[in-house]
Amino acid sequence: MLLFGHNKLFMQTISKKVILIGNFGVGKTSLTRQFVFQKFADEYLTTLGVKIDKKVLIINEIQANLIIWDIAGEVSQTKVPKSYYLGANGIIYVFDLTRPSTFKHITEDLDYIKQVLPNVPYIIVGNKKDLLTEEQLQDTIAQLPLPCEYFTSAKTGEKVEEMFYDLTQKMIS
Amino acid sequence: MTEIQDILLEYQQYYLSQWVQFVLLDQEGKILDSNHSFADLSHLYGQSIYLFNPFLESIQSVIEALDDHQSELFFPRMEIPFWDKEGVFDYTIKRIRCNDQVFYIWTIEDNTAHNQYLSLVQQERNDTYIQNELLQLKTQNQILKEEVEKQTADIQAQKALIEKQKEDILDSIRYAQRIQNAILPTQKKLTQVNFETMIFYRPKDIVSGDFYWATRIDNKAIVAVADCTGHGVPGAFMSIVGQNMLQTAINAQKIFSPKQMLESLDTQMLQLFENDDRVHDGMDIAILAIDNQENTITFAGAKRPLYLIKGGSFQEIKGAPYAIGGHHILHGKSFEEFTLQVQPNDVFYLCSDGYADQFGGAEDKKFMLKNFKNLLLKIHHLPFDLQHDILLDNLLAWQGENKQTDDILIVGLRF
Repeated sequence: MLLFGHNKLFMQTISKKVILIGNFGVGKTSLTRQFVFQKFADEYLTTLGVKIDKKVLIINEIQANLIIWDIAGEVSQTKVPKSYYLGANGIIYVFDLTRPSTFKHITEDLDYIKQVLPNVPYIIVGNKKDLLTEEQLQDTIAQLPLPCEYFTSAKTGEKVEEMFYDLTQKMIS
Repeated sequence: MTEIQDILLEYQQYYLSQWVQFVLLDQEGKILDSNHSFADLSHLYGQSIYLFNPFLESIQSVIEALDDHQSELFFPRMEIPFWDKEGVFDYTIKRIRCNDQVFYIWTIEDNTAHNQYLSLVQQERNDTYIQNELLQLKTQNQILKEEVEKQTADIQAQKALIEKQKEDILDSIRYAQRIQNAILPTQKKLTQVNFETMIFYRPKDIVSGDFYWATRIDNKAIVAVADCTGHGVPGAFMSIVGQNMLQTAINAQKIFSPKQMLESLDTQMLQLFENDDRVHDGMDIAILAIDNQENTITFAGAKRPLYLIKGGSFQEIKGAPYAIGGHHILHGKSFEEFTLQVQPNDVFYLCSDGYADQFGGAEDKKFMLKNFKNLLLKIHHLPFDLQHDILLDNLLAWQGENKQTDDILIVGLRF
């Protein structure tokens, strides 16, 4: 518990496990790095299993300890070890706006995830927006099998903070 | 603590290795013991592991939910430093029960060396896959771009061809206009009728389906105003046909009576198209014969009237309800002619229906015959030059942004 002002002596503290899933090379690690450390590297380094980072957000006078599981990308989510999903409170499904193969199976992947983690809030994120023109983005949006809530750029940081903030609100509401 | 050490020792026997660290936790997650292979945790004994390790913090509820039925969790390839030790670890969390007490053994197995090779393979595989996909997309986009460029070039070539063809057609039509204008009577020829005349002639397109015609034979002048079916090129063709037929009626058949001229025109028109059922074209026409010696006019019309204004009074002599040619009424057409005495300053108008039918005004409606006749009555006393200007100004004001609806022709004569 932390001591805070605003007529409240103690702030409620909660821990929330957030998992980032999606195809490999879509930028899950970069999104996490941008969100937690405000850093970005162009070099692509594959994630083998899971990387975990922690960031504290304060929303509505609640201290939310976000423990972010950056899970290695797979072509299908059924190939991810089930133990990685255990106890997840929020899901970020990331795809690469420049590679159609990464958003081709969103529907099937999410159906599977909803079976494993029923009633867990999720956000669909199209990443690498910085690599597209507005016209290309609109073309891509037209091809998406499901509506996408956030178009982010881990490189520029566009919408990254908002996206995590939004998911946190969904988790604590 | 002897029991606890026994538990730890028991597990150490299975995994006795410098690559494995065990951490023994009580039910609340407090650190009881560890073998310190990677990190010495002895200073944390008695403290909750959940405060120091985000991995365990995030799955505390899952750990606490373990039971006899589901007593073990396995997390492969965790790329998280174990305190200060970097590497790739496999985590196992096992719930054990000893003397009615619950304990957890957290096993941390360092598989960094093994995973280094796996990492290289996976990196290579992913890189190749991504590069191939991007290359494929680039190639597809290139093909698409080339296809679009080719199609654009084709469209532009077709557009240029169409523009050239349009220009050629317009050139032909402009030439046809010259021919049509040459055929129309000149103002000089019109003066032979010994009347003051006005021609208000505005083709909708370059060439017109409306035409006027005049000739003088002895002491008689004959003036005709015709409105052929359609406008533009087909109308113009019909107008040439009509003028030829008028020439035939007068020069070859020596017909000078307007009524007989209408009959001749109708016969000629039906004969001309008798072999082609698809052609139902014809013309509306008003013919006026003026006798300068007798001071009379004789009028006959096929769907076109004569407007005359005598002493400020507007009169209309309607034509027969049939057109020349068109739908064949072989033996039922009966044209009439009317002869009137004329006096100085009597004004006559022959016209097509184009002026009255022009769309425009605030409600985008036809100008209407009533308004047209009122306008003629209002301006009939003015010199024809001025009448021409007023007719034009009124037409343009009414028309506004609209296109011209049809060919327009008005011929005025003042005795």
